[in-house]
Amino acid sequence: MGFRPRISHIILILVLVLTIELRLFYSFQTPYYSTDKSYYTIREIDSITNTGIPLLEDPLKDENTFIVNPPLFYYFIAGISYLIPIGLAGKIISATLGSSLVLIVFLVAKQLTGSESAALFSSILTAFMPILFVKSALNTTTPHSLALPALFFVMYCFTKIKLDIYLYLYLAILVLLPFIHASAIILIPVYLLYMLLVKMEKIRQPRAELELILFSSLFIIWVIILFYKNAFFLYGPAIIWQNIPSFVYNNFFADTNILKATYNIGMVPVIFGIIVIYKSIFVEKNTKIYLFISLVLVTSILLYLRLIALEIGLMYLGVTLAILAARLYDGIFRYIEKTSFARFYAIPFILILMIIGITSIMPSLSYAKNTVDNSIDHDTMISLMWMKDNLKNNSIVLGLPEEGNLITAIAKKKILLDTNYLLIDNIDEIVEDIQTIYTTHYETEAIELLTKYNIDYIFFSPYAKNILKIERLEYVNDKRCFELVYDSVIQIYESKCII
Amino acid sequence: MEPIHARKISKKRKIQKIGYFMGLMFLALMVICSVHLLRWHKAGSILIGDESYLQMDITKDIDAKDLLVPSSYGRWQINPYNLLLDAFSKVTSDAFASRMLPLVFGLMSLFFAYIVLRKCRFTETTLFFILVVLIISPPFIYTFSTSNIFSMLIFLNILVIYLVSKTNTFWQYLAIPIGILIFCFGWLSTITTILFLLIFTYMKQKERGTLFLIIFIALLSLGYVLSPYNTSNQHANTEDRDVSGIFKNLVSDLGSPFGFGIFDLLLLFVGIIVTWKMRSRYFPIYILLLILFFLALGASYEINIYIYIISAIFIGIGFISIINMDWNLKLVGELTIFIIACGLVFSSLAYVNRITESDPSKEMYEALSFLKGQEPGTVLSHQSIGIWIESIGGKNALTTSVPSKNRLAMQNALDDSAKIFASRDIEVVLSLMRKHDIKYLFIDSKMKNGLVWSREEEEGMLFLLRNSEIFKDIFKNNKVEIYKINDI
Repeated sequence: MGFRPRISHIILILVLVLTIELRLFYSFQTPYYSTDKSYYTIREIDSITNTGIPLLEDPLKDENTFIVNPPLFYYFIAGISYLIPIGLAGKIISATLGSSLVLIVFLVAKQLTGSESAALFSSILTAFMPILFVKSALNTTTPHSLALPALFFVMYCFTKIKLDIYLYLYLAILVLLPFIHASAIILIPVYLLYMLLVKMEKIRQPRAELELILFSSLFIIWVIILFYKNAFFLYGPAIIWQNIPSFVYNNFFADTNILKATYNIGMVPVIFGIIVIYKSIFVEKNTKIYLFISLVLVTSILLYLRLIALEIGLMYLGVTLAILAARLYDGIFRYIEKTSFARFYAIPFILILMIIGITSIMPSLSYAKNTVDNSIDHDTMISLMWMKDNLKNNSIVLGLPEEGNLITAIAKKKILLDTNYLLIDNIDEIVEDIQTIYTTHYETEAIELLTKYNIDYIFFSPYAKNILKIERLEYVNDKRCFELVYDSVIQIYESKCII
Repeated sequence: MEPIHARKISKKRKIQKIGYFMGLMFLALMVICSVHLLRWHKAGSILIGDESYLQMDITKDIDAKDLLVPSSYGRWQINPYNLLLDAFSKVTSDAFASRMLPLVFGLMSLFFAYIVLRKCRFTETTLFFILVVLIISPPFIYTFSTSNIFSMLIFLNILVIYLVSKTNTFWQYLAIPIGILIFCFGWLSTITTILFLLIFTYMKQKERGTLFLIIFIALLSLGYVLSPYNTSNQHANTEDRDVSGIFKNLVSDLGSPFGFGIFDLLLLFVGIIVTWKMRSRYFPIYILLLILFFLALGASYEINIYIYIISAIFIGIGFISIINMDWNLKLVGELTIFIIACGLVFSSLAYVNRITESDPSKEMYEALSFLKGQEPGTVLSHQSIGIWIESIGGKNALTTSVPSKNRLAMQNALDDSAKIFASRDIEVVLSLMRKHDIKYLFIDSKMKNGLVWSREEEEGMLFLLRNSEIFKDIFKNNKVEIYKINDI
């Protein structure tokens, strides 16, 4: 008797492989990464391969800038980079890890519905969710590509802790989770809300679950305090806002609304997921999915209060809604089977597939192409390499924070600010000053600020032009004070005067 | 006659009790000594913090002048701790006395706390955990490893409760002179002692009148703390009085000089839930905790040690409840207990590391010693450095962190020093310096890194320091710069 894989398993593998292949296809359209954070990852990996430890202090920023980042993901990629080059390792591993969410969603959805076809439905929704397809693992290498699957796997194991193997798996992954990314802390409010929902239904919660929740919460809190001790000292409870500059914080959500969020997640997961949540809480009282409903509610609240980055929040929200959508899918087809329209079940199936195609698959591919087209281009790389070879080692370069990691990773030059905002004093003032330097019309004001931060060079990129809505720097005509040392798509000016 | 096996059991229990007690004393000794040893390794014989030097300075005043003559801070309150420290210092050195006296008080406090808590009918194991939690707590470590009045105050409080709990009236009457000693430490200490006593009395006799008296005194003290007449915390940052500021003051992991660890708070919460079933027994202690938390609003860090002593009971109960829980998942139970223990221990270790690295550092001490050899004159610096300037540097500091009876003068000095630091106008700076007869400028690295100025190189008054005719650079090391103001 041999193993006969079911059709659903075969389709699942096909979806998984297709997701990985598509992500890699787009990723390898360009030799560079699409996100600035990926270059921070490169720096961390460089540090680990050279010294054995991740960056604890950033030598390419202001003095005494300490870094706080859970290192496990960086160690993982660094390990792989001994076998394949870092540039490839990051792309391949991130794409694979991010795509593994397809498998995990299948397992979770099957656990909740008992139906493999419904689970497959959720997997397809997850595989082609626009925000997830691009932001978690397409041409980028960040801890989220590992943190997201790990979190959902932990939650899957939580639903099956009656079996010892899943208990051990839960403990094993949970122990690693806070060392991957601080977003592991989201589990604590999720568990608390889950307990509350169960209590409100006057259902007796299994003792084992309560014990596991207690341990999980204590462990995550302990690890987070260990990592972020200095930040807690500096900010106290205000650490929850992560020292993000007000300007950036306000702009996170400036151009977002429900429609855009729905587009990013996909229409089907949003509508299906919301219907399932409503029915589970108010109509059916289904405790099995309360854990995932809690995740939806917690993420929504965090997004509303702007305590979580928009992209990350939408990713968590999207995956959970996709999981929950399986219940409605299962419900619809079970209902149709019982009716006289049973023989026409293919019609709604095709209809749903078409809607997924239009609202999820096509936007995902379009989003992917757009991301790759807007990734770091060759000219920028050339200019950064030029900076590496031609600028003095201890030069300080001014760039937007979103370009900071790029400049430090490739050009290996000091920058004023990057997107690691934690433990930076007077962050609002620094961000405001950076904007002023780029946008001011007055030479004196620019030189005063450049002197304040000891800046030697200004990195003026098309990205800066686009973000700040400027075409040029208004004051650089004074050749005594500003020399154009590099001129192509990027302009690099040397600041020669001080006040 | 007791049967032999019963005698063996009671002998075994006795040995166990002695073992627990000796273990606790040894642990306390190790914890406090480790602070001193680590400090010695990092900063030599330099004492920790400013309170230690303040007490030493007051002691020197007692030697140099009459008991009630105002000291250089404008504060005249001499208390029994200073007198005892003075007596000790005559036998040994100031520094040794400053270390030994708190240690002795710590061990004696522990001894009497053990006896008092045994009378409260806790099991030996619960008692052991309560006191272990107390010993490794930041407030205990700070109070009994640095020279401060609270080391004696806590001891006296516990001693009074012990004496009152005795059945022999002689010992009860002995509590009166000790209570009078406590009165010499100020109103806050007196109020808390009265509250402790009343609650202890209520728990023994359950008289409603006592309970009403407790609530009345609590409301009175709360009213005083919140009133404008409260001068005990003049330099409290008003931001510290909001919710996040209270968290920062109470939680050592969030920056409090001596507060709770996060796990202490969690276990406190568990302990309160566990004891809620017996709330009629613990009700007065809940009230006391609540009162102390409110008092923490107005009295800065002083109240933390009192809060912690009471909370240690619930923290210990919380911990022992978790250990004794009937865990469904044994592995998870063991891991949870392990994590809690790690959390408590790591919090203490981190605190010990932090406190032994606290100012004055070697570089600061070197600078202050240099300052001592200079001509007399007033020194301008941040108020947090004032006590060291006066004690080690032997100079008068324009501002210190010691609350003064002359609140207006103190506030003027603070306002003027802030103006001086922020100004780039030499005329403004010089006129304010003339007003206060400032001769020296003492700038440390923390002042340049956010305490007074941001990291910008020449912000505010720093810009004016280029003028070497007026601001003569007389001392510089890694962390401190001293400027002498030339004849203005």
